[in-house]
Amino acid sequence: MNSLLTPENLQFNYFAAIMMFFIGLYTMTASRNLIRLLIGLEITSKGVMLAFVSVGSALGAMSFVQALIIIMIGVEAVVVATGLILIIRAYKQRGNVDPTKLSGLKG
Amino acid sequence: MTLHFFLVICMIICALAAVMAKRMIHSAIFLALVSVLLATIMFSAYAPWAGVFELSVCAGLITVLFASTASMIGRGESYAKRERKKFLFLPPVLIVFGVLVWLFGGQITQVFQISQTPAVPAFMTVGDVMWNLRLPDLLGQLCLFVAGVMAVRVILGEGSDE
Repeated sequence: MNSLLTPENLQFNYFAAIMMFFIGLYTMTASRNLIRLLIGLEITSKGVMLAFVSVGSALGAMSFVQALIIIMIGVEAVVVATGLILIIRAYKQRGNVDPTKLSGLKG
Repeated sequence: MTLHFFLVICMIICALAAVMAKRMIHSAIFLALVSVLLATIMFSAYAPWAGVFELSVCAGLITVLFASTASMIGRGESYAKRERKKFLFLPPVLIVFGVLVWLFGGQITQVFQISQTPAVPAFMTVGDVMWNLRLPDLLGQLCLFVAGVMAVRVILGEGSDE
């Protein structure tokens, strides 16, 4: 089968996956907005998925990688849904989505 | 420049736009675009099942969740104004990081090429792998779904008392 993922493309994919991971990590550390923080988490996981696809394509284990990605997407959806519900509740109680101001449980 | 390079570069640009967008609703749309482009790459790499899930769940469901949360909160813009200064540094920092990775990251990418032996026989389908090899993962995912649904129900239920 002729895949678009030639060895040069795979090398570029690894590079792009690292870039995506970095963008997500930067967002999670720099952002003071919980929604943007979740978006950073999403971008990080997309970088990981890109790396998975590239490795699977290189090793010829696409069915294994697809199974892992499907499980990962399911977990991601649950995490995002629960996180967003918590954000909405926090916003209704505190009036903001700044994690530094959510200090209600601070001892 | 091949189609694949174009897709990957567009994906990185959309990811940057998703974290730098002024309004949350635009961030959600750019995130959906990232998902669509990743799904296209998955289809091109002969991973159709992963691509379908990525399109339906990430580009569909998660985008709807983000968009509805952004519209419910509706104050993303004022926060973005304060945050914008931090995110203005992101493109130059990303370029510097990218150059460093491109120059010195050859060792990192070679890590992925250590084993050339497929972990799974080629004749196994995605269903075979999921039901035979990754059954504990599947059950764990099911438990997580139930836990997620119950958490959402409990958190939303708290509001109805007030």
